[in-house]
Amino acid sequence: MTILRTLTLAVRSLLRNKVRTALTMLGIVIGIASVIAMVAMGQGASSMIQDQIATMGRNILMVWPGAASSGGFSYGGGSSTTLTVEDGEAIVREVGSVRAIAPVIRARSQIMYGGQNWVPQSMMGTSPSFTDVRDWDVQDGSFFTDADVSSSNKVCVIGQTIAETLFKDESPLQKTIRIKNMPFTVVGVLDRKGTSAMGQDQDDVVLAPWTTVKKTLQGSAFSNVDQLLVSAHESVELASTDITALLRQRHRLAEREDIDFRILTMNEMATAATQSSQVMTILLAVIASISLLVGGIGIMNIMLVSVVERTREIGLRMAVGARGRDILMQFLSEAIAISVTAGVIGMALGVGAALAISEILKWPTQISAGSIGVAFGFSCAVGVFFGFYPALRAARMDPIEALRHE
Amino acid sequence: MGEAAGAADAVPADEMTASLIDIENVTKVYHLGEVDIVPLRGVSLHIDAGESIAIMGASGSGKTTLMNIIGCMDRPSEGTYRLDGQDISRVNADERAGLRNAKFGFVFQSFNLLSRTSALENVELPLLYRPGVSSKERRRRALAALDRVGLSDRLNHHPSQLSGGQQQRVAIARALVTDPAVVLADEPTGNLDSTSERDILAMFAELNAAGITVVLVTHNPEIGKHANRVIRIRDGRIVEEP
Repeated sequence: MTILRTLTLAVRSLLRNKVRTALTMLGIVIGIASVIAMVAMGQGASSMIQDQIATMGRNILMVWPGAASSGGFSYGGGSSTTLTVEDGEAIVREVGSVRAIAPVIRARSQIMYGGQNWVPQSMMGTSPSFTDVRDWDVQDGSFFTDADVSSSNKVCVIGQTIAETLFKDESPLQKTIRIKNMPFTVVGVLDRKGTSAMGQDQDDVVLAPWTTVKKTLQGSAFSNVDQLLVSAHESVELASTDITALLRQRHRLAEREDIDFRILTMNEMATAATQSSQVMTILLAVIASISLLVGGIGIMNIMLVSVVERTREIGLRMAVGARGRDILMQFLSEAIAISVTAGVIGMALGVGAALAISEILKWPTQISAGSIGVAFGFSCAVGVFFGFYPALRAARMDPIEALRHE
Repeated sequence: MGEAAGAADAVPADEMTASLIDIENVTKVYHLGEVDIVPLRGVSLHIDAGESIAIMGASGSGKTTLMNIIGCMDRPSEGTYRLDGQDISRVNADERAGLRNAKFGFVFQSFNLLSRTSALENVELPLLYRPGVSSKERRRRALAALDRVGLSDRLNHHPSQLSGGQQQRVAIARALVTDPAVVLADEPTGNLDSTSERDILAMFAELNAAGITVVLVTHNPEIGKHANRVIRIRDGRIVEEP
């Protein structure tokens, strides 16, 4: 028999048992659909994370103060006060691989304007080089200046979220907001930056000269920072090595002494985030594959039942001239027809589900041709694998016994 | 019966010339665990092309085993079987399938039609397993076979929509569609009323008149009478006629 004839025969006999065929397909349909949807979600998530990391700016490093300890008692990461604004200035001056640097001093306080109040997620003291390092410009007005920093002026730049929350339709420029009950003049509004890789609203931010934050808001005379944001020229790895060397020298650390700061590059963060989302993708795909396996077992089960039910038919076909391999091909092609049809339906459903997820739940999905190809190949393989044993049982029947079967 | 005996005399058992079917000293043994069942013990039988033969015997006499061997459904444990002069005693399952398709048409007591399948498709079935027959040719030959058994107006009926007699006629059309040399019928009227029985037997007589060798297997002497020659079989041996 030709392949076409065998396939026609298979489809016809499947159509004779529509409900059963449909139910058998269901397992594979769900399996394939979930593989495609899950992989699309996983890949969407990882590309979203990469986009968000890119919003941090290019070639970024972060220098954090290390852990301070006294008498064997550690105060934890960031508690050391040895990392200062002056360190930052020295880095820009002396390390050729560094393009720009911005100190970050974190504060948290309520802000007020008119009758409204708000506590921004992020309130930072920094310098004008912040725009350069973070690749983040002002949309309206201008950023505060070096002069504002040196004279600790009470000026600030706000993010879009704060502009919308406190000022509604008004222009915030040159308005006075009160931070810790002190008046600050809004000189600029930042561009919209969106959500960070950690899920934080980056536009919920107030930036002020670091000197103002340090002296006025925190009442401190020191210049230690919570973080130095560094933008490297080309290689973040080179910048990281150079900065480590310079800081060891400035902090007078002996050859064997541990460093009292930490350097983290965005590349490392990106790698970590991408890896974790890849692990998630693989995990989801594995779970979905299990449902494919279950679907395959369902096909095998139904095919075995069908072979027993159709014993007389098999006997008759053999009596009128079907060889073992004709019978094998007939049942195998039925199994393949089931799984391939189910695979195609599953693919359509999976793509539909992925689109629906990004449309309704606003979860980013990325449908890859690769996952569709793999899913299709898998569904064919499931048909062959799980259809073969029942088909072999049919092919090995003795025609006389089969015809006598009640 | 005189005529039948005469025909038997015309082809003596020891002569090995131009018979269509030459079965020589065939024994069949089935091993069931530790017990051996021997349905055929040294049977010799020669059937010429164009003969009409009834193989008769009680249930368990070995007549069905003999028919299975004649129809290449089974092969002898000992002895030789020549079909058209070719020794096919030891051919493998695939070759036997090919021989069944090329030489034989089967008619069963329980019709063995595929349910939920039209009469036409049932009749086309054997041609699916014959290489080189186009779907057009298949349809044409199935239509001709159904016309021959008088069922041209029931082409798209399913077996459940047909009477027993009609179902058996579809089965006969299915046996004829391959233009077989031999039609083998195992108790073809066992499930039918007497009117249908007459119809079916008349149809076999007609086929025989058209040159097809007909082998009927039955336990019913009334049906045996319709054959030109009657072979009686008891305990796996061919016995002389009474």
